[in-house]
Amino acid sequence: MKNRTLALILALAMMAGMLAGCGNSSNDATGGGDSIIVGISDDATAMDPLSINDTNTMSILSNIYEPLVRVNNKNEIIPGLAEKWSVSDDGLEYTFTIRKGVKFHNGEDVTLEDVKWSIEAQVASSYTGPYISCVDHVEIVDDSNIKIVLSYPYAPFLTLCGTYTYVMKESFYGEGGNMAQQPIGCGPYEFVSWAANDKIVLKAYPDYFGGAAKITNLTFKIISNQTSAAISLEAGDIDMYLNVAETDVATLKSNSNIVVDEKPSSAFYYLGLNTEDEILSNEKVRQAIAKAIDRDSMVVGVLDGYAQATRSFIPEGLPGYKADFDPLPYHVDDAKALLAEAGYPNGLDLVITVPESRSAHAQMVQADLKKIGINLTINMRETGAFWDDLENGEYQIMMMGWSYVVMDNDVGYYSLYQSKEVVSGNYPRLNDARVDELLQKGRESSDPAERDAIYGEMEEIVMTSGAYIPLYWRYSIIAYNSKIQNVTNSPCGFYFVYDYSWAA
Amino acid sequence: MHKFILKRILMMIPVLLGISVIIYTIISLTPGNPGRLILGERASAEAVEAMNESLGYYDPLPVKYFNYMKNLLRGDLGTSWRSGVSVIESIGERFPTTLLLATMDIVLTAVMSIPLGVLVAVKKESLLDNIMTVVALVFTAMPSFWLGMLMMLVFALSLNLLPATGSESFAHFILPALTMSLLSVAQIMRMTRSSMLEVIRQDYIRTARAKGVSEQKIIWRHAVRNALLPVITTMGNNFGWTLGGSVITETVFGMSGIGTLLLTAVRSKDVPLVMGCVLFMSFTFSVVTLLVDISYGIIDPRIKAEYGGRKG
Repeated sequence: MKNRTLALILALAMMAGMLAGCGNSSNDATGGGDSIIVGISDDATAMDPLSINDTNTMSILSNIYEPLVRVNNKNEIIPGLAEKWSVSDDGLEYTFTIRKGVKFHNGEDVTLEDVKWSIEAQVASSYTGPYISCVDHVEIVDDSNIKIVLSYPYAPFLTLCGTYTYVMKESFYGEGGNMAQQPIGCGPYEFVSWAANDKIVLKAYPDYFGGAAKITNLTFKIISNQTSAAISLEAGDIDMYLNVAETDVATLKSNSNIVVDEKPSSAFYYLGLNTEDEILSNEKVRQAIAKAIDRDSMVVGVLDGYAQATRSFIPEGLPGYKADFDPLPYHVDDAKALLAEAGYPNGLDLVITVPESRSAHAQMVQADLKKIGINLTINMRETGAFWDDLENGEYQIMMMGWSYVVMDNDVGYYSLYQSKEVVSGNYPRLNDARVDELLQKGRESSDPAERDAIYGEMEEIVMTSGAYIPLYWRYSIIAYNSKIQNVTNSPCGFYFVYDYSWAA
Repeated sequence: MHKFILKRILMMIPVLLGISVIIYTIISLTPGNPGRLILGERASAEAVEAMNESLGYYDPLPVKYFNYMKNLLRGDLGTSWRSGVSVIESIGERFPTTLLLATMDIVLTAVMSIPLGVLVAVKKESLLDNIMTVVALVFTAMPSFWLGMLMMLVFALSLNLLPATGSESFAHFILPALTMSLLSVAQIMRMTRSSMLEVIRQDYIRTARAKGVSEQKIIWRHAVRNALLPVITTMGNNFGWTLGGSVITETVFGMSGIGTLLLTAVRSKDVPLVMGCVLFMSFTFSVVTLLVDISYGIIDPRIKAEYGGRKG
């Protein structure tokens, strides 16, 4: 018996030794040097720019592929594959001068034919096409210039070029190519490997035209559980996490080796009221609902305060922004009066349709509306079914989020307000001739003062109609090792690792 | 014995067929539009329709199911609607992670719970017995995500011994496997204990004692071997379950196994991927159950004798 006990103790000691031994190899993140591990909560959908359009994937691909121009952290347009560009006076023709001698990661030359083909392919793609449908055709002018001709003047076009003009080669899509899994671009990082739902490994492309990236090895590590990711960041398994949960902010902030950066993102959340619904077609009812919503309580109650309540879809800094904009201020008694005026002095029954993830929001709305006598039933739907309901107009009130892919009013909400096509965003079925007119003017104008007036007027009309009830701007919260330099919290969710470096 | 195995293998066919019908029907009847989920909220109605058309989404259910099964019988599980990657490849890529995790789980569970179960059975109603029962029950009562987080905080963050998330190296598997096994220790330990107590009362144990066989030998040679049968069944079933992926543990520890694959597939209504995962899970579960049954014969000579008799 004694021998056995001894053996057991020895075995345990060995196991402990093994655990300790593993410890040495556990920290993959270097905490400096030439590697960085960036944690993200969702995997990329594909590596091919022609078959993706989600922000997360586009952000990853921005490190592999090179667009004609890039948009920097200050929302300025800077050269990409094009070293310079000019715009015709009528705003219809954009001429780009393409850098010479640029090569793809596999050593092949980037030609003007490649540029032309790539842009045409992105216009034709069902994924990216909707964002750059303004492009009419692409011409090769001479041996270094390429001209993109638009079918109508479109102010945000250059900004959009930062995302939808990645340059590839047609032959990469031919036989033997597998762009969805093994991409080839000419951006600062080249592809190494992708283990689905685990990690994406890239390495600096030594011949990048702007000089090789300061950080050589770039790994995106997929950690869907946000708290696990926060622990991994603290433990040094990863160097950065882009999707920090509100509940983890306080813990991470107390760690002096970690920087937490939180600020309003470009994603806004709102209630949409179906204007074709029998009850909600009455503007007064919609306005009463809008005046009954207590956004500040929602931000505190549902999001721990990590959101910015808003009365408008125009963020600070964009044309049309007014700091004190509030056409339908929160006022319970006024809301009740409006409801009575609309013919419902004794209240009424309504239904809110939300996807599962927004049940807490729906409960807040339910409580708010209870105060003005509206008995709100919550109809929770699976995401796909939720969208079906919106498209078919089978809802009364819904809650959803929308975001600016690039910081421009037109890109932000043209498809929400236009009355031509319901299914690409205008689920409340807002139909206002003046709004349509202003939308058209706004996208064609490149004069800031004029756009300011246009979008200011439009926002007034839309937000008074009560078809859209803005709730808040979601925060983008990122956290990273304090030794990483030049990181900016990107409101649109684009992280260009080429800019980063480790402090000495 | 061969006949028995063959019969069991043939039995798997109707089981898998039944599962395929049920799952295919459920996932096809749930609302939601795959084209919209794939192309995003800003895609035009025509593009969404074209995408659905190309996926065969508008075909009647029996036609869709028949086409799916036709390809399945040719060994083609199809490609994921979302990523376009072959389903077999995706499963093949994830399975090693899940297999290693499940194996470590079962080994750790066995190493911890069987000796403990035997020990507390021998020392029945002692202080040790009571303490172990309480400790084991406490672990069982913990939700797995909570225990997982706790393990991470202690071993990854405070002690910095093991990595918190990922599945790159063997070290990455220790915490998740430990978490999973701690949750099942109580079950297996209690089962070993009660099974042992039953066996110890048997006549042949009394006979052995009367013969003067040492207590050690009685316990380990005669009692444990006989008491393990129900324990093995349960552990086998548990193994079958974990081979199908442990969604929560995999998610908490950021591992990419079958569990997280299925979870993502269900969320994006990726029919071929969901079907592939579920059929694969059912298949492994059936195989493991079969192996458990076969192992009975090896562990318990009485069962082997029974089959031998039938054969002759």
